[in-house]
Amino acid sequence: MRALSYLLITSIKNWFKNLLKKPALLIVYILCIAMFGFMLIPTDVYPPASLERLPYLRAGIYLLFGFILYSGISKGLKSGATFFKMADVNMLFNSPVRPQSILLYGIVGQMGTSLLATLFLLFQVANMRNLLFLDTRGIIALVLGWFLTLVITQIVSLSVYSLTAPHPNRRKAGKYVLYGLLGLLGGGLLVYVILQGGKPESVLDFFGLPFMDYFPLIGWIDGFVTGMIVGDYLKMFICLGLFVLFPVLGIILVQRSDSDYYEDVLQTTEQTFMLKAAMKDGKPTARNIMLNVKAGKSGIAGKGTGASTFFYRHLTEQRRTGFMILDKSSIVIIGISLIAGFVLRNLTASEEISVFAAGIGSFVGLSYMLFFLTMSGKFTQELSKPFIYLVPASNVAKLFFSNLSTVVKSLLEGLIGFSVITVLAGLPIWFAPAAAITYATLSQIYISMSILTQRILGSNTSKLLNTMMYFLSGSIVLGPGILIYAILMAVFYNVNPDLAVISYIAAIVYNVFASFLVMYLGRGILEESAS
Amino acid sequence: MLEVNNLTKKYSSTLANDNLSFSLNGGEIGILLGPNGAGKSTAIKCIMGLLRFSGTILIDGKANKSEEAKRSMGYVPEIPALYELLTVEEHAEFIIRAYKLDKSAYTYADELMERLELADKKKKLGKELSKGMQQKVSIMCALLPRPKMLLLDEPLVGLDPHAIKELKSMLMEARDAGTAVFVSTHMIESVEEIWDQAFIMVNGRIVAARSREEEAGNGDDSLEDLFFSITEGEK
Repeated sequence: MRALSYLLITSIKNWFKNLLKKPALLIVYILCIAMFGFMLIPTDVYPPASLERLPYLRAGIYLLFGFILYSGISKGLKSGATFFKMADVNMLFNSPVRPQSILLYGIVGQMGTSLLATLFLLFQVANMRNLLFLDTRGIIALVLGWFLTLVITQIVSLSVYSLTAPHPNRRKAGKYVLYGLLGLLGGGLLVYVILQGGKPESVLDFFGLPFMDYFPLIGWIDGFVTGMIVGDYLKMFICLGLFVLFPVLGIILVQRSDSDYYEDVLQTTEQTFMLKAAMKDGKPTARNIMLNVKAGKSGIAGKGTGASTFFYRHLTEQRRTGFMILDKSSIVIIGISLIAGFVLRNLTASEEISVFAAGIGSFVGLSYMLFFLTMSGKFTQELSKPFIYLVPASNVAKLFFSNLSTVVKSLLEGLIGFSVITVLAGLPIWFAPAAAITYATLSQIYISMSILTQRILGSNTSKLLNTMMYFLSGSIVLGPGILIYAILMAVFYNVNPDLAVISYIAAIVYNVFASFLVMYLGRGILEESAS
Repeated sequence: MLEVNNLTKKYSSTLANDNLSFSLNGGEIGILLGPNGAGKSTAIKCIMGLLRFSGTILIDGKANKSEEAKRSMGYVPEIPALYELLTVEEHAEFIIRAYKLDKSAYTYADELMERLELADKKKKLGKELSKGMQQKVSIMCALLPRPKMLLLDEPLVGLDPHAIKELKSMLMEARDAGTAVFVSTHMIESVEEIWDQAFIMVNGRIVAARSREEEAGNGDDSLEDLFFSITEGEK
């Protein structure tokens, strides 16, 4: 263990030393911690804490934490997981250090990684108070729950892979158990909703049924978080015990059955290493290394020529990596629309907010999420390859077609998401198409912000500078559109709520115009060579 | 020193290594030649105990996955990857602790850093080094425990001419000190002057084995001619 403790302690010590050499980064960390501390202090700015929104939180935990947990296990049944680095494979795995000690070291390292991944939740503290009405204890419960979910998903995923990979029958059995659990959850929900006469509220009630706290894995973490929030400490400790015991049992089984887990983590570690190395070299498309992509039918979809070939090529790639034109982020957007629909339905029914506010709220919320999802879209990937610079076609056309698949995808997911919200929250029928088209043209605006950033800064700049410029270009390109939308909304809504559609139409016109203008002005980025 | 018997490695339906058997004595440099995708890296990883396999692999008479065998082995991987937050000298310290080496290892570490032109980079973090420099640190880490069996997977890729010359002389010194050195490569010309045993791999099988004495004594074709006659014949 001496070598492993030396490795851990020296790495942590050097991390701090390195941080001291980068004052800007140090200030960012201090600000984050100070901000978190400040947010934990309850003030009058936030609504008073209550348990009113607990059913929504429960459903959210089941959806988000459940997705992380079960997709992690599903990955474990297919390709495995790792919490080792390539340096561990190259140096530790070949050394005379005991594999059991190395496994323990890996778990400790993974806890550190998960802790960093939890930091982003700190930015949501205000939302936890404003939307979920949580107090400080509730916030700590949710943050702890998230951290535990991240750590335990990795451990369970690795254990599942190690125990099942060499035995096809065990793998098959594992799949049956996983799909059985998911089927039980989905089937149970369906039966319950039917028994309750199909009332949408019964979806939320279902997750609040007492035995749901003991549903394997997801129920346990839900029971832990909600137990801590409501002060039911017995439930909290039982659920925590079950949630922690499960992966511990997995690790014991791995060690008892066959401590030779090196092969199980090797491929994933190599893939992660290659991905990170490629990303460092500025090749965002390297993310595809991680995907288990099958070629399937060969040939570029459609009949594109010249600049439009880029669009059809994206469709072909999408066919291999997603569901038609949709991808995983679309599933997230649609899932959130579903929850938002239920939430807004209840809020409008109890007249807490108006239908008008529900429409604006859902549109702004999904558009905000789209902002982050578009940042690393197909366009950024396209710029890292030489073809877009070489194909003999007009630069504006190439920019347009290399972004078109993102716009079409956004349109489709917007249509599905906003239709769900429209139906559930009882919004006017015009809302779904109007919001979806505005949402799709917004993706074009977000991409034009990338073009503007690239045009002003060039390709070889620091990430921090790029991100700052991206936000600044947001105020230049996006700002006028928001202003037009807000003013027209305020003016026409007072005349007739249905006239609010005009503000969406105006926003669509502005988005199309502004994005084409930026593409025209920024067409020069395709005259620079790929770095 | 190295005995491989009936080594077979299968990845679901792909047979990466098909019943390989060969051996290498201490004080010899063996090279494993083969085109891309021949199964060389898989064989090296099996020998290093990173993969499950069928067959037996013995290092100095001990099963390759045992702690005793690992204590006798040094490995330079195909892809150099260091601990990003450890300096060059801390990598040496880590190896000294992991292999439980005695105090003299610190002097040897300094000597290796000097020869590999790492001395002025002792305080640099792993993440601050170029790929070539990382490769040199990997070589230092592999040589530091003075292994009885040294395995190198494409070790010359990414090194500058001076480092290539230095590495070759280090390998020959290790051989002269009784170490079995096993190098996997597809660059025949780069190892032409140092090999004692050569094994040519194609499609997961060893299709030819030759010793330096055989080549000299029989006046056979050069290793390069043999390699091309085999690999181009396969096509």
